[in-house]
Amino acid sequence: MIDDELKAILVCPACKGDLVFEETRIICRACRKAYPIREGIPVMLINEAEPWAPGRE
Amino acid sequence: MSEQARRVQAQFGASAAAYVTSAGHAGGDDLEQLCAWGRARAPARVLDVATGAGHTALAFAGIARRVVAYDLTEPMLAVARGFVASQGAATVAYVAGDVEALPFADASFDVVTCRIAAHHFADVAAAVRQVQRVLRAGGSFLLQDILGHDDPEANAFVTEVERRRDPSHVRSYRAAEWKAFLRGAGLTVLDEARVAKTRHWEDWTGRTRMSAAARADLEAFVRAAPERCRAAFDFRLAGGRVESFTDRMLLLRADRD
Repeated sequence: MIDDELKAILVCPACKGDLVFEETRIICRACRKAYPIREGIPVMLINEAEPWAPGRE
Repeated sequence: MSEQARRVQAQFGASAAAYVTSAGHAGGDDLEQLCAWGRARAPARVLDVATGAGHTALAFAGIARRVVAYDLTEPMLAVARGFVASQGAATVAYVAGDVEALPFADASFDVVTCRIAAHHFADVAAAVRQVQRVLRAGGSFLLQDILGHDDPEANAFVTEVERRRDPSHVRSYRAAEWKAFLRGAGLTVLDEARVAKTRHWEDWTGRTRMSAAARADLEAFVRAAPERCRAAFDFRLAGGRVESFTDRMLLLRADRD
């Protein structure tokens, strides 16, 4: 649902850094946060993000 | 996220579907003006901030190659997606987020639109700075919002009416205030227009799911207000009932320096 054009312009809302796109979530490695994708819509709300750590990939 | 953002989510999450059929949001001279300004810029990619039911995103889907519809409230985006798809537009993408923390790279958009929404923002200056950041140099911010009234008493009266109807209403701003926000962010106003928008009371108070008691209280508040305040917004009363009032909308085109 998230096409390449959208991926190219989406950044982390907190640090404005690059993101890693997975099937159900979008990860900011720098902030160690995972933003959910719900109903095909990226939910880029800082308070909706889950904590993320590299070991849990 | 601010308390204000939570109020907006609660307000629009509960009443999202009502905005699809809202005549004031669906279009009119105001949306035509924004589209005319937009069309002249021949934008490839447009961001519609606080898209609501998606009327502005849909209009710009006919102008730009790609539109991103952005909103704080997920149920509102679901409604927008259904509405835009039902109108046959397939080039609109949907992203949820806060206007004060846009999740887009610098200079991603040729045009950013924001229509009848900024009066809900907790921090307009911060929002405008984010808009400036995601616009390319020379790109246009097309803004429309309810114009604040120059008479402080009339302005306070209508703000109270708005807040009783919708607790997520913060306030509207005068043209000079908007120009200061825009200039402060590095955006230069190049076009300006004003459009009257008449609100039909039953429709307007019904859309936000006010209780019958709250509607009666609000009507009594309007009737009890000084005539000068009512006249400032052309409140029409008939048989003790409020029929309508008229807002002025401010429309601005401001380009990134």
